[in-house]
Amino acid sequence: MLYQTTNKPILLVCHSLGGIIAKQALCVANKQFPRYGSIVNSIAGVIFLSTPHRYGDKTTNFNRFRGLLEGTIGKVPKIPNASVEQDGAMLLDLADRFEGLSLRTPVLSVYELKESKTSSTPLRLKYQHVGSESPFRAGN
Amino acid sequence: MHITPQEPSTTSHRLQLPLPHYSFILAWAEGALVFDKLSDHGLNNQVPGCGPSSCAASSNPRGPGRLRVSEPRREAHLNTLLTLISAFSIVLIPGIGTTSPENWPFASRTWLATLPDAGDGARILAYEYPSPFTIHNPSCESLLMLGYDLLQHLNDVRSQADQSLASVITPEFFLKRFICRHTC
Repeated sequence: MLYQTTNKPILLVCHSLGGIIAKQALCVANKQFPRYGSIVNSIAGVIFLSTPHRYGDKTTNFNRFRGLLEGTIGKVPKIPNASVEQDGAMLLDLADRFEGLSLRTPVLSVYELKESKTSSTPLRLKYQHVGSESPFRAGN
Repeated sequence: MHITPQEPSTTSHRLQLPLPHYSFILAWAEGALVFDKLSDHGLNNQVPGCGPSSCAASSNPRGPGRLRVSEPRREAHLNTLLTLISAFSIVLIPGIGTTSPENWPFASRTWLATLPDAGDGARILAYEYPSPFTIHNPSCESLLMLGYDLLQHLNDVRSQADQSLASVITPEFFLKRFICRHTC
């Protein structure tokens, strides 16, 4: 049909941890292509604004995630230590899966270089980059 | 499938039709800035105006989040419809505890009008979801589950839009379009 919405392009604009949701959605859509193929094919571009991507290990991934969360909601809910490793692994896995998508559409990832204020616990920096050292490959 | 207008509260001009686009088309004609929710099977029974941190997950059989459609004030009914059918979609996905998509420049028609290729004709969809970190056992898994939810809502919205357009684009539509072109 001439006006079919299912053929209309989609631009995803994600901020902060919203990018995690978008990446998961794209990974699921790609995995279930027979069902969501029209959505995958309609993605005209993805813009990530201060979204964490991939860091070296599980703990770093989780700490970046936690730092970002702390920067946005102020106080991070208590997360059991046992979950840190598991959640870090999930984030790392998501980053790997997303990179494995090989999207043919432009992907732009933007993050701030200015330090953001976070909670000032004695053992933690008062200011930190919540999205620095993004290893995301521009133009992926 | 139906649609529940979030605002304004006056609904006398709206038809109870299984065509979600009719609702905000008429809302446009009223000259109101409307954020209408496209959802499915009673998802619209949520509390009107609930934000990212307050949407009730339990009342939504599809998932905790929802996609809201942001549409601007328009001068004429047909112009609105023509804009609708020529639009592409910009999906805004906020973070947790961050600025609401309604306040993003991407949702501003003024800003969109500066884009080439009629960017102001884009349909703006904002994904809203409850913070997964307010429940008792927060984990990244609950955040990742929102990915499924977003995907499903996106799929629903697009399917519903097609169903609506299939009904809207009738010979009568083309006749109105012809008349509008020659009289407006």
